[in-house]
Amino acid sequence: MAGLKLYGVTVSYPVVLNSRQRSALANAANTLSFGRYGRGANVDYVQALRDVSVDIPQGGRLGVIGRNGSGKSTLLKTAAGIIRPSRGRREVNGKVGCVLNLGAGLDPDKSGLENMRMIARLHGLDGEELDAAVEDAAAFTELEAFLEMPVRAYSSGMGARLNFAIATAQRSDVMIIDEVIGTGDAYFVSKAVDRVRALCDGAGVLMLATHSYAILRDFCDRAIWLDAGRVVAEGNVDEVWEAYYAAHGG
Amino acid sequence: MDELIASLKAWRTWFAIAMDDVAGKYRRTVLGPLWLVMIQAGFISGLWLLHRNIYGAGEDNFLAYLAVGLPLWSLLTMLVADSCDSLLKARGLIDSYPLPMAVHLFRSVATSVLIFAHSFVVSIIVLLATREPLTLTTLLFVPGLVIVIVFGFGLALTLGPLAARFRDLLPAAQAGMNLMFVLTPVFWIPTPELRTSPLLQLNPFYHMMEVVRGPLLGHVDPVSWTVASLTAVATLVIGIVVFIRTRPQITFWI
Repeated sequence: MAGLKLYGVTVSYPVVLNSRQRSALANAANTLSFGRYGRGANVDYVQALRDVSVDIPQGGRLGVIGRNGSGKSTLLKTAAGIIRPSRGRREVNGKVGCVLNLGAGLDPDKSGLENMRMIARLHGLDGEELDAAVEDAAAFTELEAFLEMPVRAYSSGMGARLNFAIATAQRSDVMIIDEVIGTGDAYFVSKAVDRVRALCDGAGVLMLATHSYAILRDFCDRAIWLDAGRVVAEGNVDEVWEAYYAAHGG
Repeated sequence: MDELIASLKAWRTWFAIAMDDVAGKYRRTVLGPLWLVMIQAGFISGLWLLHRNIYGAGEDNFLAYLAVGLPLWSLLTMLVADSCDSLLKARGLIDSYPLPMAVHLFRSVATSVLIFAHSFVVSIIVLLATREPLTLTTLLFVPGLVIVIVFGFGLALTLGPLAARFRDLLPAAQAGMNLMFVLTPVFWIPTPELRTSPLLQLNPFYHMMEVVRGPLLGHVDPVSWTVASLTAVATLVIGIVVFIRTRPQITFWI
Protein backbone atom coordinates (compact mmCIF):
# COMPACT_ATOMS: atom_id res chain seq x y z
CA MET A 1 0.00 0.00 0.00
CA ALA A 2 1.69 3.19 -1.11
CA GLY A 3 1.48 6.31 0.99
CA LEU A 4 3.19 9.63 1.58
CA LYS A 5 2.94 11.64 4.77
CA LEU A 6 4.67 14.77 5.89
CA TYR A 7 4.20 15.85 9.52
CA GLY A 8 4.94 19.44 10.47
CA VAL A 9 7.78 19.70 8.00
CA THR A 10 9.92 22.81 8.14
CA VAL A 11 12.78 23.36 5.74
CA SER A 12 15.26 26.12 6.42
CA TYR A 13 18.29 26.48 4.34
CA PRO A 14 21.36 28.54 5.00
CA VAL A 15 22.13 31.28 2.57
CA VAL A 16 25.89 31.19 2.27
CA LEU A 17 26.77 34.25 0.25
CA ASN A 18 29.95 35.72 1.58
CA SER A 19 33.09 34.04 0.30
CA ARG A 20 34.44 34.26 3.84
CA GLN A 21 31.58 32.11 5.00
CA ARG A 22 32.70 29.44 2.57
CA SER A 23 36.28 29.32 3.68
CA ALA A 24 37.34 26.80 6.29
CA LEU A 25 40.48 28.78 6.89
CA ALA A 26 38.54 31.97 7.60
CA ASN A 27 36.21 30.15 9.94
CA ALA A 28 39.11 28.57 11.74
CA ALA A 29 40.88 31.91 12.01
CA ASN A 30 37.73 33.45 13.42
CA THR A 31 37.34 30.76 16.04
CA LEU A 32 40.99 30.62 17.03
CA SER A 33 41.25 34.37 17.43
CA PHE A 34 38.04 34.47 19.50
CA GLY A 35 36.23 36.49 16.93
CA ARG A 36 38.86 39.10 16.52
CA TYR A 37 39.87 38.16 13.01
CA GLY A 38 37.27 37.95 10.28
CA ARG A 39 33.51 38.20 10.59
CA GLY A 40 33.06 34.44 10.72
CA ALA A 41 30.12 32.40 9.60
CA ASN A 42 27.04 34.39 10.51
CA VAL A 43 24.78 32.76 8.08
CA ASP A 44 21.19 33.76 7.30
CA TYR A 45 18.48 31.19 7.01
CA VAL A 46 15.54 31.14 4.65
CA GLN A 47 12.48 29.19 5.68
CA ALA A 48 11.30 27.61 2.49
CA LEU A 49 8.63 25.51 4.17
CA ARG A 50 6.92 26.20 7.48
CA ASP A 51 5.12 23.49 9.39
CA VAL A 52 3.68 21.73 6.33
CA SER A 53 1.66 18.58 6.84
CA VAL A 54 0.37 16.41 4.08
CA ASP A 55 -1.24 12.98 4.04
CA ILE A 56 -1.71 11.18 0.76
CA PRO A 57 -3.05 7.63 1.12
CA GLN A 58 -3.04 4.91 -1.50
CA GLY A 59 -4.95 6.22 -4.53
CA GLY A 60 -4.58 9.84 -3.47
CA ARG A 61 -3.71 12.53 -6.00
CA LEU A 62 -2.64 15.82 -4.46
CA GLY A 63 -2.18 18.98 -6.46
CA VAL A 64 0.14 21.67 -5.17
CA ILE A 65 -0.51 25.21 -6.32
CA GLY A 66 1.05 28.51 -5.41
CA ARG A 67 2.93 31.42 -6.84
CA ASN A 68 6.52 31.17 -7.97
CA GLY A 69 8.72 31.12 -4.91
CA SER A 70 6.01 29.80 -2.61
CA GLY A 71 7.95 26.64 -1.87
CA LYS A 72 6.35 24.16 -4.29
CA SER A 73 9.63 22.77 -5.61
CA THR A 74 11.05 22.57 -2.11
CA LEU A 75 7.97 20.68 -1.00
CA LEU A 76 8.29 18.24 -3.86
CA LYS A 77 11.97 17.70 -3.27
CA THR A 78 11.32 17.11 0.42
CA ALA A 79 8.56 14.66 -0.41
CA ALA A 80 10.95 12.87 -2.78
CA GLY A 81 13.56 12.56 -0.04
CA ILE A 82 16.12 14.80 -1.71
CA ILE A 83 15.89 17.53 0.91
CA ARG A 84 15.85 16.67 4.59
CA PRO A 85 13.50 18.76 6.70
CA SER A 86 15.01 20.70 9.60
CA ARG A 87 11.92 19.89 11.64
CA GLY A 88 9.14 17.40 11.21
CA ARG A 89 8.99 13.96 9.75
CA ARG A 90 8.51 12.27 6.41
CA GLU A 91 6.96 8.83 6.06
CA VAL A 92 6.79 7.10 2.74
CA ASN A 93 5.63 3.66 1.67
CA GLY A 94 6.60 2.41 -1.71
CA LYS A 95 9.17 3.24 -4.33
CA VAL A 96 9.51 6.94 -5.00
CA GLY A 97 9.91 8.27 -8.52
CA CYS A 98 10.06 11.88 -9.51
CA VAL A 99 9.89 14.08 -12.56
CA LEU A 100 11.48 17.29 -11.38
CA ASN A 101 14.03 18.91 -13.68
CA LEU A 102 13.74 17.57 -17.18
CA GLY A 103 17.05 16.98 -18.85
CA ALA A 104 19.22 16.87 -15.75
CA GLY A 105 22.19 14.66 -16.44
CA LEU A 106 21.93 14.99 -20.21
CA ASP A 107 25.27 14.75 -22.00
CA PRO A 108 25.29 16.54 -25.37
CA ASP A 109 28.05 14.30 -26.72
CA LYS A 110 26.15 11.10 -26.17
CA SER A 111 23.43 9.83 -28.46
CA GLY A 112 19.76 10.13 -27.59
CA LEU A 113 19.58 6.45 -26.75
CA GLU A 114 22.68 6.52 -24.56
CA ASN A 115 21.33 9.53 -22.71
CA MET A 116 18.01 7.82 -22.14
CA ARG A 117 19.76 4.76 -20.75
CA MET A 118 21.74 6.92 -18.33
CA ILE A 119 18.73 8.92 -17.21
CA ALA A 120 16.72 5.74 -16.73
CA ARG A 121 19.53 4.52 -14.52
CA LEU A 122 19.44 7.76 -12.55
CA HIS A 123 15.76 7.15 -11.99
CA GLY A 124 16.72 3.90 -10.33
CA LEU A 125 15.83 1.50 -13.14
CA ASP A 126 17.93 -1.53 -13.92
CA GLY A 127 18.17 -4.63 -16.09
CA GLU A 128 15.05 -5.59 -17.99
CA GLU A 129 13.01 -2.76 -16.53
CA LEU A 130 15.57 -0.32 -17.87
CA ASP A 131 15.58 -1.84 -21.35
CA ALA A 132 11.80 -1.82 -21.52
CA ALA A 133 11.58 1.78 -20.31
CA VAL A 134 14.13 3.00 -22.84
CA GLU A 135 12.36 1.18 -25.66
CA ASP A 136 9.05 2.65 -24.60
CA ALA A 137 10.49 6.15 -24.37
CA ALA A 138 12.23 5.80 -27.73
CA ALA A 139 8.95 4.88 -29.38
CA PHE A 140 7.21 7.84 -27.78
CA THR A 141 9.75 10.38 -29.02
CA GLU A 142 9.21 9.35 -32.66
CA LEU A 143 12.80 10.46 -33.24
CA GLU A 144 13.75 7.25 -35.04
CA ALA A 145 17.21 7.55 -36.59
CA PHE A 146 17.99 10.71 -34.62
CA LEU A 147 18.22 8.63 -31.50
CA GLU A 148 21.61 7.36 -32.64
CA MET A 149 22.97 10.87 -33.08
CA PRO A 150 24.54 12.99 -30.36
CA VAL A 151 22.03 15.16 -28.56
CA ARG A 152 23.95 18.30 -29.47
CA ALA A 153 22.47 17.85 -32.96
CA TYR A 154 18.89 18.05 -31.69
CA SER A 155 16.58 21.01 -31.92
CA SER A 156 15.18 22.26 -28.63
CA GLY A 157 11.84 20.64 -29.41
CA MET A 158 13.47 17.30 -30.04
CA GLY A 159 15.43 17.61 -26.86
CA ALA A 160 12.25 18.38 -24.98
CA ARG A 161 10.58 15.27 -26.40
CA LEU A 162 13.54 13.15 -25.40
CA ASN A 163 13.70 14.50 -21.87
CA PHE A 164 10.00 14.20 -21.34
CA ALA A 165 9.82 10.68 -22.78
CA ILE A 166 12.52 9.20 -20.60
CA ALA A 167 11.46 11.05 -17.48
CA THR A 168 7.97 9.61 -17.81
CA ALA A 169 9.11 6.08 -18.65
CA GLN A 170 9.44 5.04 -15.03
CA ARG A 171 6.78 3.35 -12.93
CA SER A 172 6.81 4.00 -9.24
CA ASP A 173 4.36 3.67 -6.38
CA VAL A 174 4.83 7.27 -5.32
CA MET A 175 5.09 9.78 -8.18
CA ILE A 176 6.19 13.31 -7.57
CA ILE A 177 5.84 15.57 -10.57
CA ASP A 178 6.79 19.21 -11.00
CA GLU A 179 4.97 21.06 -13.80
CA VAL A 180 6.35 19.12 -16.72
CA ILE A 181 3.80 19.54 -19.40
CA GLY A 182 5.31 22.60 -20.96
CA THR A 183 5.02 24.10 -24.37
CA GLY A 184 5.05 22.13 -27.57
CA ASP A 185 2.95 21.62 -30.65
CA ALA A 186 -0.63 20.48 -30.15
CA TYR A 187 0.12 16.92 -31.26
CA PHE A 188 2.90 16.55 -28.77
CA VAL A 189 0.98 18.18 -25.91
CA SER A 190 -1.94 15.81 -26.29
CA LYS A 191 0.39 12.82 -26.41
CA ALA A 192 2.15 14.17 -23.39
CA VAL A 193 -1.02 14.56 -21.40
CA ASP A 194 -1.98 10.95 -22.18
CA ARG A 195 1.45 9.78 -21.14
CA VAL A 196 1.34 11.63 -17.83
CA ARG A 197 -2.12 10.23 -17.25
CA ALA A 198 -0.78 6.70 -17.76
CA LEU A 199 2.07 7.49 -15.40
CA CYS A 200 -0.31 8.75 -12.73
CA ASP A 201 -2.81 5.94 -13.17
CA GLY A 202 -0.01 3.47 -12.55
CA ALA A 203 1.03 5.16 -9.32
CA GLY A 204 -0.39 4.53 -5.89
CA VAL A 205 0.23 8.10 -4.80
CA LEU A 206 0.65 11.29 -6.80
CA MET A 207 1.89 14.73 -5.80
CA LEU A 208 1.78 17.16 -8.69
CA ALA A 209 2.73 20.82 -8.74
CA THR A 210 1.12 22.94 -11.41
CA HIS A 211 0.01 26.40 -12.43
CA SER A 212 -2.80 25.17 -14.65
CA TYR A 213 -6.35 24.65 -13.47
CA ALA A 214 -7.00 22.22 -16.34
CA ILE A 215 -4.14 19.97 -15.29
CA LEU A 216 -5.16 20.24 -11.65
CA ARG A 217 -8.71 19.25 -12.35
CA ASP A 218 -7.68 16.48 -14.71
CA PHE A 219 -5.14 14.74 -12.53
CA CYS A 220 -5.87 15.54 -8.90
CA ASP A 221 -8.62 14.94 -6.41
CA ARG A 222 -7.33 17.16 -3.60
CA ALA A 223 -5.16 20.23 -3.61
CA ILE A 224 -3.14 22.45 -1.29
CA TRP A 225 -2.26 26.06 -1.81
CA LEU A 226 1.23 27.01 -0.67
CA ASP A 227 2.08 30.59 0.07
CA ALA A 228 5.48 31.65 1.44
CA GLY A 229 6.10 28.11 2.60
CA ARG A 230 2.84 27.68 4.47
CA VAL A 231 -0.27 25.72 3.55
CA VAL A 232 -2.97 28.38 3.39
CA ALA A 233 -5.73 26.22 1.98
CA GLU A 234 -6.43 22.57 1.46
CA GLY A 235 -9.41 20.63 0.31
CA ASN A 236 -10.93 19.58 -2.92
CA VAL A 237 -9.49 20.93 -6.13
CA ASP A 238 -12.22 23.41 -7.01
CA GLU A 239 -12.39 25.03 -3.57
CA VAL A 240 -8.67 25.49 -3.28
CA TRP A 241 -8.34 26.81 -6.82
CA GLU A 242 -11.15 29.32 -6.28
CA ALA A 243 -9.46 30.62 -3.16
CA TYR A 244 -6.10 30.88 -4.94
CA TYR A 245 -7.57 32.52 -8.02
CA ALA A 246 -9.54 34.97 -5.94
CA ALA A 247 -6.40 36.07 -4.13
CA HIS A 248 -4.11 36.28 -7.11
CA GLY A 249 -6.25 36.80 -10.17
CA GLY A 250 -5.49 35.25 -13.54
CA MET B 1 22.62 5.14 7.89
CA ASP B 2 19.77 3.54 5.97
CA GLU B 3 20.67 5.81 3.15
CA LEU B 4 24.28 4.61 3.23
CA ILE B 5 23.15 1.03 2.98
CA ALA B 6 20.76 1.93 0.17
CA SER B 7 23.68 3.62 -1.58
CA LEU B 8 25.72 0.44 -1.32
CA LYS B 9 22.84 -1.60 -2.64
CA ALA B 10 22.59 0.73 -5.62
CA TRP B 11 26.09 -0.30 -6.73
CA ARG B 12 24.90 -1.03 -10.24
CA THR B 13 23.85 2.57 -10.61
CA TRP B 14 27.03 4.24 -9.42
CA PHE B 15 29.25 1.72 -11.10
CA ALA B 16 27.49 2.28 -14.43
CA ILE B 17 27.81 6.04 -14.07
CA ALA B 18 31.52 5.64 -13.25
CA MET B 19 32.07 3.50 -16.35
CA ASP B 20 30.30 6.16 -18.34
CA ASP B 21 32.51 8.86 -16.77
CA VAL B 22 35.63 7.06 -17.92
CA ALA B 23 34.25 6.29 -21.38
CA GLY B 24 33.22 9.93 -21.69
CA LYS B 25 36.79 11.11 -21.38
CA TYR B 26 37.64 9.40 -24.63
CA ARG B 27 34.63 10.07 -26.76
CA ARG B 28 35.65 11.56 -30.10
CA THR B 29 39.28 10.57 -29.64
CA VAL B 30 41.16 8.07 -31.74
CA LEU B 31 43.28 6.33 -29.16
CA GLY B 32 40.61 6.29 -26.49
CA PRO B 33 41.55 4.65 -23.19
CA LEU B 34 45.03 4.04 -24.57
CA TRP B 35 45.82 7.65 -23.73
CA LEU B 36 45.61 6.97 -20.01
CA VAL B 37 48.14 4.22 -20.45
CA MET B 38 50.41 6.36 -22.60
CA ILE B 39 50.42 9.26 -20.16
CA GLN B 40 51.64 6.96 -17.41
CA ALA B 41 54.09 5.20 -19.67
CA GLY B 42 55.57 8.52 -20.73
CA PHE B 43 56.14 9.76 -17.20
CA ILE B 44 57.59 6.44 -16.09
CA SER B 45 59.98 6.26 -19.03
CA GLY B 46 61.17 9.80 -18.48
CA LEU B 47 61.91 9.32 -14.80
CA TRP B 48 63.58 6.00 -15.43
CA LEU B 49 65.87 7.39 -18.11
CA LEU B 50 66.81 10.24 -15.81
CA HIS B 51 67.55 7.87 -12.96
CA ARG B 52 69.67 5.63 -15.15
CA ASN B 53 71.73 8.56 -16.34
CA ILE B 54 72.34 9.86 -12.85
CA TYR B 55 72.83 6.61 -10.94
CA GLY B 56 73.56 4.05 -13.63
CA ALA B 57 71.82 0.68 -13.69
CA GLY B 58 71.54 -0.48 -10.10
CA GLU B 59 70.29 -3.80 -8.71
CA ASP B 60 67.02 -2.40 -7.55
CA ASN B 61 64.42 -2.64 -10.23
CA PHE B 62 63.75 1.06 -10.49
CA LEU B 63 61.65 0.75 -13.59
CA ALA B 64 59.25 -1.65 -11.93
CA TYR B 65 59.26 0.51 -8.81
CA LEU B 66 58.13 3.49 -10.86
CA ALA B 67 55.74 1.51 -13.01
CA VAL B 68 53.84 0.40 -9.94
CA GLY B 69 54.32 3.47 -7.81
CA LEU B 70 53.29 6.24 -10.19
CA PRO B 71 49.87 4.86 -11.19
CA LEU B 72 49.26 4.01 -7.55
CA TRP B 73 50.11 7.55 -6.51
CA SER B 74 47.74 8.83 -9.19
CA LEU B 75 45.04 6.73 -7.64
CA LEU B 76 45.68 8.13 -4.19
CA THR B 77 45.68 11.68 -5.50
CA MET B 78 42.42 11.10 -7.36
CA LEU B 79 40.85 9.56 -4.29
CA VAL B 80 41.68 12.66 -2.30
CA ALA B 81 41.07 15.40 -4.87
CA ASP B 82 38.06 13.99 -6.70
CA SER B 83 36.27 13.28 -3.43
CA CYS B 84 36.30 16.99 -2.72
CA ASP B 85 34.68 17.68 -6.04
CA SER B 86 32.26 14.80 -6.23
CA LEU B 87 29.12 16.29 -4.70
CA LEU B 88 29.62 19.64 -6.38
CA LYS B 89 29.97 17.95 -9.76
CA ALA B 90 26.80 15.99 -9.13
CA ARG B 91 24.77 19.04 -8.18
CA GLY B 92 22.38 18.69 -11.13
CA LEU B 93 21.77 15.03 -10.41
CA ILE B 94 21.28 15.50 -6.68
CA ASP B 95 18.60 18.11 -7.26
CA SER B 96 16.64 16.07 -9.76
CA TYR B 97 16.80 12.40 -8.88
CA PRO B 98 15.85 10.66 -5.63
CA LEU B 99 19.08 8.68 -5.45
CA PRO B 100 20.60 7.96 -2.03
CA MET B 101 23.21 10.69 -1.58
CA ALA B 102 26.26 8.48 -1.12
CA VAL B 103 25.79 7.15 -4.66
CA HIS B 104 27.48 10.29 -5.93
CA LEU B 105 30.41 9.78 -3.60
CA PHE B 106 30.83 6.14 -4.49
CA ARG B 107 30.66 7.01 -8.18
CA SER B 108 33.71 9.21 -7.73
CA VAL B 109 35.66 6.41 -6.03
CA ALA B 110 34.66 3.93 -8.73
CA THR B 111 35.77 6.32 -11.49
CA SER B 112 39.18 6.74 -9.85
CA VAL B 113 39.62 3.00 -9.46
CA LEU B 114 38.63 2.34 -13.07
CA ILE B 115 41.14 4.91 -14.31
CA PHE B 116 43.80 3.32 -12.13
CA ALA B 117 42.95 -0.06 -13.63
CA HIS B 118 43.96 1.26 -17.04
CA SER B 119 47.36 2.42 -15.85
CA PHE B 120 47.82 -0.72 -13.82
CA VAL B 121 48.00 -2.56 -17.13
CA VAL B 122 51.30 -0.75 -17.75
CA SER B 123 52.50 -1.79 -14.30
CA ILE B 124 51.75 -5.44 -15.00
CA ILE B 125 53.47 -5.30 -18.37
CA VAL B 126 56.59 -3.74 -16.91
CA LEU B 127 56.67 -6.23 -14.03
CA LEU B 128 56.49 -9.11 -16.48
CA ALA B 129 59.00 -7.55 -18.87
CA THR B 130 61.56 -6.91 -16.16
CA ARG B 131 61.05 -10.45 -14.90
CA GLU B 132 60.12 -9.63 -11.36
CA PRO B 133 59.65 -12.95 -9.57
CA LEU B 134 55.99 -13.83 -9.24
CA THR B 135 55.30 -15.71 -6.03
CA LEU B 136 52.34 -16.10 -3.74
CA THR B 137 53.55 -13.01 -1.93
CA THR B 138 52.93 -11.06 -5.10
CA LEU B 139 49.21 -11.83 -4.84
CA LEU B 140 49.09 -9.95 -1.57
CA PHE B 141 48.72 -6.79 -3.62
CA VAL B 142 45.05 -7.68 -4.00
CA PRO B 143 44.17 -7.26 -0.31
CA GLY B 144 46.48 -4.27 -0.42
CA LEU B 145 44.32 -2.72 -3.12
CA VAL B 146 41.22 -3.53 -1.11
CA ILE B 147 42.69 -1.56 1.79
CA VAL B 148 43.37 1.39 -0.50
CA ILE B 149 39.83 1.23 -1.90
CA VAL B 150 38.31 1.16 1.59
CA PHE B 151 40.50 4.17 2.39
CA GLY B 152 39.10 5.78 -0.74
CA PHE B 153 35.50 5.25 0.37
CA GLY B 154 36.34 6.73 3.75
CA LEU B 155 37.94 9.76 2.12
CA ALA B 156 34.95 10.27 -0.16
CA LEU B 157 32.49 10.15 2.73
CA THR B 158 34.60 12.58 4.77
CA LEU B 159 35.83 15.04 2.18
CA GLY B 160 32.81 15.12 -0.11
CA PRO B 161 30.38 16.82 2.28
CA LEU B 162 33.06 18.96 3.98
CA ALA B 163 34.41 20.25 0.68
CA ALA B 164 30.87 21.20 -0.34
CA ARG B 165 30.62 23.42 2.75
CA PHE B 166 34.18 24.70 2.85
CA ARG B 167 35.28 25.36 -0.69
CA ASP B 168 38.90 25.84 0.42
CA LEU B 169 39.23 22.15 0.98
CA LEU B 170 39.80 21.22 -2.64
CA PRO B 171 42.76 23.55 -3.27
CA ALA B 172 44.11 22.68 0.18
CA ALA B 173 43.90 18.98 -0.61
CA GLN B 174 45.61 19.50 -3.97
CA ALA B 175 48.38 21.48 -2.31
CA GLY B 176 48.73 18.80 0.32
CA MET B 177 48.99 16.00 -2.21
CA ASN B 178 51.59 17.94 -4.18
CA LEU B 179 53.70 18.15 -1.05
CA MET B 180 53.09 14.49 -0.25
CA PHE B 181 54.23 13.53 -3.75
CA VAL B 182 57.66 14.77 -2.88
CA LEU B 183 57.77 13.53 0.72
CA THR B 184 56.41 10.06 -0.01
CA PRO B 185 58.74 7.65 -1.77
CA VAL B 186 57.07 7.57 -5.16
CA PHE B 187 59.85 8.49 -7.58
CA TRP B 188 62.68 7.80 -5.16
CA ILE B 189 63.59 4.64 -3.26
CA PRO B 190 64.15 5.16 0.48
CA THR B 191 67.27 3.78 2.12
CA PRO B 192 66.71 1.20 4.86
CA GLU B 193 67.50 3.83 7.51
CA LEU B 194 64.97 6.20 6.06
CA ARG B 195 62.30 3.50 6.02
CA THR B 196 62.24 3.43 9.79
CA SER B 197 62.39 7.16 10.28
CA PRO B 198 59.32 9.14 11.42
CA LEU B 199 59.27 10.97 8.09
CA LEU B 200 58.01 7.83 6.41
CA GLN B 201 56.47 5.96 9.30
CA LEU B 202 54.14 8.82 10.19
CA ASN B 203 53.06 9.24 6.58
CA PRO B 204 49.87 7.25 5.97
CA PHE B 205 50.34 7.52 2.21
CA TYR B 206 53.67 5.75 2.51
CA HIS B 207 51.96 2.77 4.11
CA MET B 208 49.16 2.82 1.55
CA MET B 209 51.76 2.68 -1.20
CA GLU B 210 53.67 -0.12 0.51
CA VAL B 211 50.73 -2.50 0.84
CA VAL B 212 50.26 -2.56 -2.92
CA ARG B 213 53.74 -1.85 -4.23
CA GLY B 214 55.56 -3.99 -1.66
CA PRO B 215 54.06 -7.38 -2.54
CA LEU B 216 54.44 -6.71 -6.27
CA LEU B 217 58.16 -6.09 -5.76
CA GLY B 218 58.56 -8.98 -3.38
CA HIS B 219 58.56 -7.56 0.12
CA VAL B 220 55.97 -7.42 2.87
CA ASP B 221 56.28 -5.09 5.84
CA PRO B 222 53.90 -6.04 8.67
CA VAL B 223 54.09 -2.54 10.14
CA SER B 224 52.84 -0.99 6.92
CA TRP B 225 50.03 -3.49 6.69
CA THR B 226 48.88 -2.78 10.22
CA VAL B 227 49.05 0.97 9.83
CA ALA B 228 47.38 0.93 6.42
CA SER B 229 44.51 -1.30 7.57
CA LEU B 230 43.93 0.78 10.67
CA THR B 231 44.06 4.01 8.70
CA ALA B 232 41.60 2.67 6.14
CA VAL B 233 39.13 1.47 8.76
CA ALA B 234 39.48 4.66 10.83
CA THR B 235 38.93 6.82 7.75
CA LEU B 236 35.87 4.79 6.85
CA VAL B 237 34.41 5.14 10.33
CA ILE B 238 35.11 8.88 10.39
CA GLY B 239 33.58 9.11 6.93
CA ILE B 240 30.40 7.37 8.01
CA VAL B 241 30.05 9.67 11.01
CA VAL B 242 30.73 12.83 8.99
CA PHE B 243 28.33 11.78 6.26
CA ILE B 244 25.50 10.93 8.62
CA ARG B 245 25.87 14.21 10.46
CA THR B 246 26.15 16.38 7.37
CA ARG B 247 23.70 14.65 5.04
CA PRO B 248 20.73 16.94 5.87
CA GLN B 249 22.71 20.01 4.88
CA ILE B 250 24.41 18.70 1.78
CA THR B 251 21.57 19.74 -0.51
CA PHE B 252 21.95 23.31 0.75
CA TRP B 253 25.72 23.45 0.61
CA ILE B 254 26.15 22.41 -3.01
